[in-house]
Amino acid sequence: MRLFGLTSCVFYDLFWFLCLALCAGCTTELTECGGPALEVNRLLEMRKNFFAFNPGPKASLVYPDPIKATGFNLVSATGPQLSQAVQPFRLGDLLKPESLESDIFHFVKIRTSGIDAVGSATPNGKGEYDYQISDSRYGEVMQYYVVAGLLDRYVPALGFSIDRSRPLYVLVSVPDNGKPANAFYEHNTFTGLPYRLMKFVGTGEFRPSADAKIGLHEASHNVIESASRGRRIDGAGELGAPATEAAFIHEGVADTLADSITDDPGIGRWLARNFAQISPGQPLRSAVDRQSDVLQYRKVMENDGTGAKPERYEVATWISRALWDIRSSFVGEDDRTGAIFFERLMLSGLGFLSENTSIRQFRGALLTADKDLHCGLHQRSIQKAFDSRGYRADPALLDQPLLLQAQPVGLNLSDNKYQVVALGPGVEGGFKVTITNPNSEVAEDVRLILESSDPNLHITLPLQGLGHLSGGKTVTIGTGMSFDFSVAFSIDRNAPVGRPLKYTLTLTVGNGPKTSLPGAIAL
Amino acid sequence: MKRFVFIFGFAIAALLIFTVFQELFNVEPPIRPTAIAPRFEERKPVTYAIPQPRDNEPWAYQSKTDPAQTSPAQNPGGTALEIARSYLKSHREDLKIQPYHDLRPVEFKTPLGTTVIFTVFQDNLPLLNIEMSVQVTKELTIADVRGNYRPVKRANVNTPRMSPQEVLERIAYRYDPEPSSVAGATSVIYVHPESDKPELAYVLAVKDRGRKSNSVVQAIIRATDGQLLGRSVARE
Repeated sequence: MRLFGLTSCVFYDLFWFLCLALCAGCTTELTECGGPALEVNRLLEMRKNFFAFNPGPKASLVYPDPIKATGFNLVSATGPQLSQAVQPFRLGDLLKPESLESDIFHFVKIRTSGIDAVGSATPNGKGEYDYQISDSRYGEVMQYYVVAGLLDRYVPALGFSIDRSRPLYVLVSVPDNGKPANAFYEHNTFTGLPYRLMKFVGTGEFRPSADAKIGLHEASHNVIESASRGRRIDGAGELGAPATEAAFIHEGVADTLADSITDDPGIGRWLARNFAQISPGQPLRSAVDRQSDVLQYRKVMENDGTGAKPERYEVATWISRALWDIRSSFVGEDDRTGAIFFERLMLSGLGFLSENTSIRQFRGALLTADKDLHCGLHQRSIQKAFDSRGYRADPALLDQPLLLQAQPVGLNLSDNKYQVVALGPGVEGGFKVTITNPNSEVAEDVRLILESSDPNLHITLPLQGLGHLSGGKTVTIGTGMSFDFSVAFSIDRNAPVGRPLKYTLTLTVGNGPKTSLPGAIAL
Repeated sequence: MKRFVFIFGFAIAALLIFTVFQELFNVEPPIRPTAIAPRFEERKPVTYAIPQPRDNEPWAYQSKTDPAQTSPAQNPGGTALEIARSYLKSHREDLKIQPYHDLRPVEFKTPLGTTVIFTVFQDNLPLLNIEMSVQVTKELTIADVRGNYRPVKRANVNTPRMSPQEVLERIAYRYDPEPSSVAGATSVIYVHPESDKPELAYVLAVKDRGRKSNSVVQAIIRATDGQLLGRSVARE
């Protein structure tokens, strides 16, 4: 009886011990899994005003854009609703109070339409930058605030340095010459040019320079270059390839960072007013699914044989929606600081990517970053964000390599259309290509790569991304798809006639064996 | 005995319920920031790690870079930039870095480590297609060294060359000049990946009639004869 009593007491104690242990697991504060220290309160203030801790002249801005700020989809650049939506911001780090150029490393420089065209925005008698949205100088002020604020203050506070080896000129009023309003970021990574450029093209009523999120998006490309440690994660895209997976990642992350900082999953509402096919108030792209617009991975990645798909911004939207899901899980844990920790995770993931990266590698990089920063606490959220949108972590492996036929051709331009010409010294060229997937399964991340060890063959575009190729499908470049999707070369003027220029074309696939096709260009 | 079975069974049931609860509701413990103020990182003695092999994804396009061979060495502490510079200095002979080449660092810091990329200059002109990078962990050890630096010959920067206007005429078969093309022409030294003879080149902003986009293309053109060597395009 005593033995029984003792035994039951032991197990009784064990039972309570188990209960306590289980309950303790529910409420443990995992402070050791918060990653390197972040100045969270500082970042929270910066999200309201980038220069909260570096006060300068006051600027009156309708932030982030007139539509979002007023809640009125049809607001114009001179609408009466704007007066209620103007908020005061500070412009910090100015080299001189009267010019929009940053003091920090002399990095961000606002211009109008050219590097030498100094901006004309100046403070008024009260020392404040106060312009109407319809005035082009308003765009100068807005873009100084967002670009310098993001690159000189906010992103460094997240723990990332910005590559300031070359100054960034922000041209806010570039004429559109009849083309649609747009914005561009010129990295000049491969050219050795001593500057970077950001261009806002369009000077009409709905000019892109008045839209803060367009500036945040373009500046985010610089952030991505920096956070990915200068590894040229989209080297091929920077040489002209239109549909690389890395380009999709660049655009998706740029959208997401702009959306996350402004707590608004829609970008380009103001710029979108330039496009009749978009209803007023709707963004160019949204990071949340709409009922009629649920994007699935396979659908957006499938090569349709015409070059229309995969389309860069459609896949980028898919990526931004997956990232927004991950953000939502962080915010769900802590609605005050979750967005900040998410932004750091996303940018940290970029640091693991290699040159000409892939979506698969990006997903893996986010998982790795989560392990390094947060003990892997968000593995399921990250996997679910991708998998629930049709991404396959373990795609079926292909039995057979893809079939590749290719013929080098000289390419000239007539009436802005490609013309096939004879190959010879001094001629630019590409390849007529036919690719067939003989398998029943989808070939993922199909890439065409050109390599050569001949110094007389200058490879101007070494890699093309072609998306996914369905089982049994054939695509052709040069007929179905334009030569824009071909790898490209330039034959040296001094190349000796009679000596063939050897090359190798390689077709790589994410879930299968590669195909190599050696060849030679006869001169 | 019955009491023991009851207690033990209750404990097991509680464990099962907790596990199911966690799975069903995808409970992830909340994150708390560790501190408000940044920590001061003490400088520690550094050992150079032997570089790890490159990532080996079969589908990832890899440029032709070979990690430099290193051996473990001691270094009396420093920032990531100082460590990277010190590495290059101490391996200058191994890497055959030429006295006429100036390797200029650009630092990329992240919360998980720093990469320093060295771009190569000669006579203040950048050499294209040649660089070195040193990856330093947050513990200040070298994780990786890679690059394609090779001791190419010294480029003759005084070689007779065409003017920017003349080279623009050579590429007029496809490229239209921009207003800033001539005034903004920049000189660089181009190194073909398969050659050890660098060449003087211009970088010119032009419009490519083959591209539908409104963006400008930066064309790299050999200065002696107007040969197109490369192009770079903007992001939208």
